[in-house]
Amino acid sequence: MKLFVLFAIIASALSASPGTAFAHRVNLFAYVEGGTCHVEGYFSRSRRAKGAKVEVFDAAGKKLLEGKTDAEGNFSFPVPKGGDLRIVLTASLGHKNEFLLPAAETESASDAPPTAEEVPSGVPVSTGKISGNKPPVVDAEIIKGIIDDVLDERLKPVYALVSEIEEERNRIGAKEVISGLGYIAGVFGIAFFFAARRKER
Amino acid sequence: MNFISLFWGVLFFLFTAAHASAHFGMVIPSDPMVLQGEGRKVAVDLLFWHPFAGEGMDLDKPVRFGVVENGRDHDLLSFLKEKKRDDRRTWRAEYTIKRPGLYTFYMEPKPYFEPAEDLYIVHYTKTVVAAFGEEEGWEEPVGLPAEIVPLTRPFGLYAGNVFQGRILYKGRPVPHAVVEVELFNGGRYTPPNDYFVTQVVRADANGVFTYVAPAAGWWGFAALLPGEEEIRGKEVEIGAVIWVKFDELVRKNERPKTKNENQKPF
Repeated sequence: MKLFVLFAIIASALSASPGTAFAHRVNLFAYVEGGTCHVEGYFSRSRRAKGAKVEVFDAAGKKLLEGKTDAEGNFSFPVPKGGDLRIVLTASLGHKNEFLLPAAETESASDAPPTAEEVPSGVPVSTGKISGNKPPVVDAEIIKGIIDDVLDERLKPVYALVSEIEEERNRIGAKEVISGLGYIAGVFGIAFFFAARRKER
Repeated sequence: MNFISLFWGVLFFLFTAAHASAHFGMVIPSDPMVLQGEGRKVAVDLLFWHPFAGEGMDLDKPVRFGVVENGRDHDLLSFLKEKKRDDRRTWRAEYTIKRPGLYTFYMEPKPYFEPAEDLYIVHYTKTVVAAFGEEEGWEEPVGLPAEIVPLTRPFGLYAGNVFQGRILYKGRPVPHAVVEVELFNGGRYTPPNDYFVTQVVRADANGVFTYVAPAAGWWGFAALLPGEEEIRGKEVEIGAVIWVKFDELVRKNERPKTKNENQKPF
């Protein structure tokens, strides 16, 4: 009898809370910022894939490192080297997805000034939030981002003005209409001139 | 004398022909679902058009154009570039999607005076682009004065699926509103007669309407509401418009259609 109750509790625990989340597919998104690759595992914006296994492979299929997502579904690691990266996320119950980070993105990151100490490839990095390993140095990407934002804001009136001028330029004004009418009158004038001359003969 | 009657004939024909199809504000993205491994740049086209007939009107630069993502509104008006299509003024903006999320592009046009109907037309128009598997929040209004709030997820739909939406005007459901529905045809289909060009459904007492899309492509839903204000003594037709793409169900070994094949106009 006791055994049965225990069984019932386990069964209901299994079927109740986590079950709903798995009606969805698990998603994976990865991006590089200042030499660090950030991985996000999620079912949706508010339902994150917590404690999911993350494996990172290079273009040749060699596993470079692995880790687990934190309570927000995030995992980050320093970009090991250039080239394509294949990132595989496995949530519990075998829900799996992968993300291909193209070489263009991983290499643009290695152009950035050196961030943390170089991490030898193949060494698993600490799981958890981004802030922990962040170097005190502000890197070029961030500065570029700030400058872009400020310029965008400052130049907004200029953009607006330029597009307005463009708009004005494309509009058919009274001048164009009058010159068009003049042109038509001229053509007809010449035609009538020749027609009249023919009649005179 | 003959020329004059011909002129009036042509003019009359133009007016009556235009009247057979409905006006639609249009916001059409190059891709309604951005996934990994695809280009992240989305071109968004703005038009004022008869989508089935494929005849256009000039669209002045909109009053507002932007994108709402996770409750945040970004003004994109300064990114619009004019683009001539069939000699009509339309607009295009390019936007790069960087993060997972739902991106609702919306436009508020300048009031358009339609002499044939002797009224002004203002269509608040939107469309939803989903990115990287995220799909939370499509059921929320973005806060336009007149808006269709989907009851069916407005992306990843098969041709033959039902589409339901609720019509809101100033935040309140509009019972029994008329909804005009048209396919962005792109010259693919001919209607058996003029009745078929614009499909018409009405909302129920809760402002909810239902439509089944019979073919793949971009379908526009325009809920037409008599405006409360007048412009220069003329009536104003307010439209709440949403554009939704339906796709063919593809068999396993069939060659999947390329993105643009379903969507000839672009």
